[in-house]
Parts: sequence; structure tokens; C-alpha cells
Amino acid sequence: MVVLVLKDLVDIVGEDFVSERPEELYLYSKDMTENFPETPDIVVMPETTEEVQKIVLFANKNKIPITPYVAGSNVGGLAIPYGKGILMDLKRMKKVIEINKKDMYIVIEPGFTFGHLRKLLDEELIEFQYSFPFAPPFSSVLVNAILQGLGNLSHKYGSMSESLNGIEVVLPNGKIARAGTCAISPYWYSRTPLPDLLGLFVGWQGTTGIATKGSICLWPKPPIITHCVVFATDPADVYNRFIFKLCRSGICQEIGGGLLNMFMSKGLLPMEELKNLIEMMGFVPRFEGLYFVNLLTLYGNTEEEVKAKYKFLVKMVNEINDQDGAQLVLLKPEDYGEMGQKMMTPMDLPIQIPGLLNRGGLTWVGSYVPLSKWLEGCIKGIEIHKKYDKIPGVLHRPMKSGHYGVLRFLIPFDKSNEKEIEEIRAMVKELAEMILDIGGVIYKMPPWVAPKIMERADPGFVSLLKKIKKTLDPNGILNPHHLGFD
Amino acid sequence: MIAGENIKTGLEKVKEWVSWCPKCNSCKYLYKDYAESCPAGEHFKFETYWSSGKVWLAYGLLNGILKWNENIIKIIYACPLCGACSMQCQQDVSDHLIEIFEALREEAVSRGFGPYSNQKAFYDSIIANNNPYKEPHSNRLNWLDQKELKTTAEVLYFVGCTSSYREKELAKSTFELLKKLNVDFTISPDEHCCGSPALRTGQVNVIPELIKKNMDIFKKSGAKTIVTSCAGCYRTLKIDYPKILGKELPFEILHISEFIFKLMKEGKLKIDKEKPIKITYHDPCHLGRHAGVFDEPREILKNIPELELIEMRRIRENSWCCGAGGGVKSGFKDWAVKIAIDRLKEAEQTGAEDLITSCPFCLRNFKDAAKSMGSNLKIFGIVELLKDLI
Repeated sequence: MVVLVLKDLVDIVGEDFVSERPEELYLYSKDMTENFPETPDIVVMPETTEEVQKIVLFANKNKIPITPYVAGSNVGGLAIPYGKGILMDLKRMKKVIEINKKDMYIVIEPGFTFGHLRKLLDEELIEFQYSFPFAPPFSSVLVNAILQGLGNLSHKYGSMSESLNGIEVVLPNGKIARAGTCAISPYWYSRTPLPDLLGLFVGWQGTTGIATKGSICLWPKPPIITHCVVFATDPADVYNRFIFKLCRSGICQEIGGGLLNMFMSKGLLPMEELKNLIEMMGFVPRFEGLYFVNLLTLYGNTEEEVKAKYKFLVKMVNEINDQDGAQLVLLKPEDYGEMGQKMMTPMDLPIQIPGLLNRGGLTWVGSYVPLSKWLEGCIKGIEIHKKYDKIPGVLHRPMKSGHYGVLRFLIPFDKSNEKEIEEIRAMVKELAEMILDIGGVIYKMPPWVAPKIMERADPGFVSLLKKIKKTLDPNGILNPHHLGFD
Repeated sequence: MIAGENIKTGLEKVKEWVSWCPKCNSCKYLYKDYAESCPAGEHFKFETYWSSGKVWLAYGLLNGILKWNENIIKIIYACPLCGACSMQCQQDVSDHLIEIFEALREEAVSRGFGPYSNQKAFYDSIIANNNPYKEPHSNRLNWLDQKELKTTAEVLYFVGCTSSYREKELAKSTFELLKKLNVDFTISPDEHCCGSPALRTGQVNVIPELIKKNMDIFKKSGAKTIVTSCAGCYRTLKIDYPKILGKELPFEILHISEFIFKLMKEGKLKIDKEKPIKITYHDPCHLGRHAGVFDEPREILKNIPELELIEMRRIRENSWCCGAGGGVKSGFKDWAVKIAIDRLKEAEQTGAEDLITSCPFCLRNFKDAAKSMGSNLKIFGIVELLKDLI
């Protein structure tokens, strides 16, 4: 069987880009998470849409599963080939097909990474910006959008999928389809006004089609940008009120924060200097309990506009501190030299995540929740961390001007420690149940959480999902066992 | 190997670190630059060829998940051990990547799977002739007209096998330069291979004997300083010898560029002669990334009147490897030249007329590449440039 497949795939892409050798397959059998490994039968690396199409046609005819892959850094086991079969590594498809400055989009292939994008923006498209995730540079821009990830502009623009104008996909039957205006027009500028068929592929975790091209929005880069940092101790509800006020004010293009504790424990922040600084500003430095940090970006067309926004921010912070006796400490990193630069490291994206992955393991439970529920989820999540004797690392971000929020628990672990991995498996399940209980939904859902989500889902929704999946992929060849009902 | 009986060998040495790589892929790009960093990964494309892939292979082999085979040998020997990945990786494993890659080779050899026949031939020749090039030991100083050398001196010039037998101009230039500078130096006609070609390819059995012989030679020379013009020898003497012996060497080990720059700093050398050329400089991996010598060659070049140094896009910690190291030149002859061609194209883009480097092995591969691609770049070592200016 494998010999036959090998020959067929070699005929399509050439012998240098197919392997059934165990060591090459092993590299695709797991990722940095606690998810169980599974080894594909064969790996293939196409370079063109036509090659992808031929592989899919062949696989569909022979009912061989295909798992699409670029970097495998989704932190959810989404590219682990639980159906075995063919692992399709798309990293060779990394071209920029079109740059359209006037209409503010680029058309890219799936292997085009955030590293490539950073370089393109810095060198050729300096008037634009894009939403970068807290992720390593060798991660796919298109895959991140299709998986509904988030980025540093998500406060303003929402999840990354909202930056998608259109895609070209190879369907499980081998046909090529386009969704968005690119289906009608030579321009890939919008998803409207048409039935939004991107919904057949976005959020489906690579189970309904293989994207070979996609158009992403370039967002105008404001001429003036200033970064601010807000530190806040208990009571957390005061900090929460600040976040809500901030969202409604509309003065920030980025709001992204988290619980400091884990980052402090990993030595990722200059704690001694911070303590001194906060003391110098007349506050009592406290790094126990809930200690939040939030990185904000003020923006405008002129210095005056940004200064006015900053003045407004200072007023807002002072009012909250005066009324509630709270401790919100507002800093402008640019005023604090090297320490300020270090504080800004998480905003220098994409990021290589220094120190966080030192023992090889990282997982998360990432969710989109009603913004009104994020703090409750955060506090409950911290309790779960305590139960498992883990230091909490929480990231949160109000998305799309505060219409919803991200609540993500980030858990590094020692990959050589089987006992710890077992504990992590139990802990992430508890965290996921808690999030679902408060009304949140897990994004980039790992295989172990997908059935839990489907159990709670409206039966009509699940039935519709199943019908769509069956219609698009009657043989169930695309990324099996990643939807919770297949 | 020398220090005690309980020293772990092969993959056992690196067992603690092989689970530390998360495979975040950060090693694939230059840090905050996002240009490609890994010659093997970029060429062969399979995940196994990148740094993270080899670390995971080591894990798989150690834990019995994978079995040794010919393809694994190809993967582990296709790496030029340039160390670019270790400069990009931000995790603790970055400090151990080269050790893991070399341990894989050591393990392969101990199990009878590696190295490639050309690399084995190097090893056999080191045992038979004290050099990897199958040249008679007695011909080691054939490049030198002046046969009468001092028995003892302050400085011992360790020529190295490549300069002694293949890139003789480099040896001659270094000799002439040291003479012109009135350095109290000598060369040992009994110099043995430093062991680098064996060490890099996992053939470690010969190393204790080579260290012993060379250490005896160093001691006999009475030298306080050992100077070498070869980046590979420099890395081996400076880093590997003390590590293997478990103690610091009682000599100062300097690359010729460090030695010259030291003289400049002490006011003992000033270059007045003008050299109105545009040059670019290639950092040899063993000198730069492995040993941290980036500034000295550049400072020397900047001290040459009228010489214009134009840097390439990827330099210092982020240099693109010449492709010759880690046994790649002997194991993958054509591909080694292809890597060098990539680098020469980068050098040509600067508009420089000459490419200068500080390693005979880089020189050799660049010359082969220039011939293959028809480049007009003139390629030579930093000492060849200097000897005519003093």
C-alpha cells in the first residue's frame, strides 16, 4: 500500500519531496503540546496548487486521509495526523501572489509566514500594519487566519479571520473553489456582498478544504504610535472596570494584557527594577495575588492627537485610583530606557518567546469569552492552577473594541516528565470545562476538547456541521478526528 | 575521553537536553531578521534537517522510537555544524545544539553507521599520516623554503593540515607576516592534525592521542602563545582541547587575526601602505559563531588606509555558512559548493571586488564555488592581504 502511494506521490511532486522514512514521519507525529502523538504513513511537500489538487484527487479516490501542515505550532495538536495517511507539508508554498497597495491587501500562499510578513511590511509596505500573534516567526499567516487566531491588533479588528478577504481552496473532491470577491472579480478585496462561503472553511480546522491562496487585509499604520503599560494589583474588579472603560473610549489600537505571575517566575520581566520604579512613583509594589499588566497602544495622525489621548488616559487612571483607592500604575516605556525596552518585548512581534519553552513543552487553553465573563474565568482558572500547583500564566485581550474577549491560560511544562504531562492533561480538561461553563468557547480546539464542545452544542448546529462536512468531504479524508464528531 | 573512565559517550552525553526543544521553529530564521539561517534545512526541506529536527531525532533514537538507518546518517552528516541555529534559538537548548549534533555523529560511528567513506578516509589518513589528506607527514613543511627553525620560541605557529598541504599560500603568508613583524616564533615540523576533521564527524577515538602529541609539541616549543591561521584548528585547540582535558591549557591560543590586532592595539603594528580596494568579509563559523571572534578581523581591515569594507547582508552571528564545515565538503561535495555559491552571490551583491576570510577551509570552498559559478570575486585570506602591506 505504502509503496504504491509513494510512487504516485513521487510522480506528482518528485522524489525529493516525498518520504515514507520513519524518521521523517516521526517529526510530524507530535507537537510541543501534551496531545497524544500519531504518525502519518507518508509525507509530501507540494509547491503548487496543481500539485495539491493532484494529491487530493489521488487521496480522495483511494480514501486516504490528508492532514495539512505548515509549521505545526498551533499549540493544539491540530496538525497531528490522527487519521494517519498523508501529511501534506505546505511550507514550500510561500509566495506572495499579489500586493495591492491601493486596495490594501496581499494575496499569499499558506507557507508564507509571519517572519516573511514582518520583513515585507518593514521593507516594502511601511505604510501598513497587520495583526501579529504572540507566536514564533515561522508560523503561517494564512493558517492563523483560517484557524481564527488573534493578534496584536485584535482589539481593533477582531480575530484574524476577520482580516481574510477571500481564499482559494482545493476541495476534498479535488475541485478548486474560491470564496470572496475573488470568485467573481480579479480583485481579492472583500467577502461581501456575497454568500460568505469562507464560513465553509474558516474555523473548520483544515477539515473541509486545503487553502492554497488567501487574501489578507493590510491595515493602515497610524503615523504616530505611543505605547503605555498599566500595572494593577487587587482588587481585580477595579482593573476590570478600567478595561471596560478603556474599550469604550476607543483611544487604543492595541490592548493586550495578562497576569504577571508566570512571566515573573520565568524571569521575563525585570522585577527588581519594576519594584523600585513603582515605589518611586508613590505606589506600594505588590507582586502577590492577582497582578495584571496591560500593554496599550495609543495612535493618531498627529502628535497632538496622541498627546490628547494620553492625557485622557491619565485622567481615566487617576479617576479610578481616586474613586476606588485602587493601584493602577501607568508608565510610558519610552521614558525608562532599557527597562522600558524590556517591557515592550512582548510587543516586538513575531516573538521567539525567550525562556518560556525551556523544557520543550507548552500548551494552552485558549478561548473567546463574553468580555463580561473574562475575569470570572480568570479567577476560576487561577484556582485550578493552584490545585495542580502551577503558576498561572494568563493572557487576555478585549477583542473587536470589547465585543468579546480572549482568555488564554498558557502552560509550559517539562516534556521529559511523563507524570507532569499526565497532570497537564487533567488540568487542561478542567480549564476547558470551566470555560465552557462560564459561556466561553475554546478556539483552535484540540482533539480532546472538540467532543466536549459538540456535546454542549445546539443539536441543530451539530447536525448542520455534519451535513456540510459530509457534503464537502464524503469520504472523510481531510484532517479526520479534529472536529469532535468525525 | 581522557579525563576519566565514567565519561559518557555518544547520545548518553546529551540525554538531558534532547527533550528541551519545543520545535517552535525559531531556529529556521535569523533572529529578528527573518532571513534563512540553516543551509541543510533550506536545501533538503524535510523537518529532520533543521536544528529542531535533529534534536527530536536524537530523542527518538535515545528512546528507542527510531532505529538507525542510512537516511538518518545523511540527515546528521548534511549539517555543516555552522551553529547558526544556536544563535537564533531563544531556549536553553540553544547552548547544547552543536553538542547534540556531534553526539549524534559519535553515536553513529560507535554503532558502525557513520561516517561517509571520504570522512572515514580522512580519519584513516590522520592515523597513518597525521593529516587527513593522505600526504606524507615529512612533507608537512614543504611549503617553507627556510628549513631552519628555532627549537623554542615565545610563539608557536600551528599551521594546520589544510594550510600545510592545500592552501599553502596562507601558510606562506602567515610565516612571512610573522617574520616581517619580528615575532619570536617557530613552527613544529612534527605538528599533528588538530583532530577537527575526526571530531566533527564523530570519529573520536583518535582524539586523545592527537591531543597528547600536540600538547607535547607545544610544551617542547616553550611557547606561551599558540597562533593559528585556521579557524577549524583554532576552535579545536581553544574550545575542544580544554573541554576534553577537563582543564585550561597552559598556553594562550590565538587566531592570527587576534594576534595581529593585539599588536595593533599595543602600538607595535601600524599599516601605512594604502590599499584602495572594496572588500567584503566572511565570518568563518568556527572562528565567529563558535568562538566569538567577529571584531578583530574587521578592526584590522578598518586600519588599512583607503580600504573600504562593505558588509554582506548576513554577517557575524548571522553569517551564512561557507558550506565546507562539519564534514560536508567531504560528504556532500557538490552541495557544499552550492552553499558557498549562495554566499558568493551575497558577497557580489555588495559591489566588493574581493572576498576576505580567515579560514583555509572557507577559502578552499569559496574558490571551488567561484570556479563553478564563474565569479570574478578575488578570494583570499586576511594574512595574504596583510603581508604585502607591511
